[in-house]
Amino acid sequence: MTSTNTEHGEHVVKVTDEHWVKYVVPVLISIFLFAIAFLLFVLAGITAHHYMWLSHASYIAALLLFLVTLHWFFMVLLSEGLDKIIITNRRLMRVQYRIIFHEDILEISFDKMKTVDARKHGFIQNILHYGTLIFEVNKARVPLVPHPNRIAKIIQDAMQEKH
Amino acid sequence: MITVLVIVLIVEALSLLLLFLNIQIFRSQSEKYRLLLSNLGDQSAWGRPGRILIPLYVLMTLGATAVTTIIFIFQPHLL
Repeated sequence: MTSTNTEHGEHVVKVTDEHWVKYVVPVLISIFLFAIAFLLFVLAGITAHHYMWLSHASYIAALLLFLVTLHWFFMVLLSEGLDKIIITNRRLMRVQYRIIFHEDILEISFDKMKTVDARKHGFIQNILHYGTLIFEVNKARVPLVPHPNRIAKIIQDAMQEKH
Repeated sequence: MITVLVIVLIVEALSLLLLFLNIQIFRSQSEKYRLLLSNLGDQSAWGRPGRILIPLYVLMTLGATAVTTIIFIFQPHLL
């Protein structure tokens, strides 16, 4: 996928998402919170006839927990879906966005950074094929890169093309 | 009972408002990044993030709103 911005001589070499492993923790947290909300709904049902105040209190707590978890879960998924790693012939950009809370665009110019290493540490990263790109011996790091060796090769080619 | 019902309905309304806001913010941000890629000459690379998640988000929120409201109003003991 290569195309050219003729005005600036910059073209996109590769656009990739971060690795899907980033979704594991939010999914586990959501399952846990949904389970608690479900138990509170059950408590509200069980106590409906005998302790109305307890039933109402637990129903409102369950509803709040359920809806907060639902919105938080989808806000995380939608935000993470916007995160991209964009490699052009001149730079690498990593877009990180969290709805309402946070936006971060990391830009690494190939004018300043001339070397890149790919690192996969540990069993999980090697099995799931993701890792970290490290520029100029730790001057900049881009974590959660899928197939970091391939991406590093693409970046090295882009760096060589530039110089 | 009426007080609790009002609280439940307010919570549901706020939830629907948050759904609407989140989708609007997501769409505007997605468009911003699509334009960024477009400026680099490759807007097709952006794809369509959210094409599955947004309908799922809407369906789950509306479904949860309907179910929780109906259960509270009509059959709390069925839980």
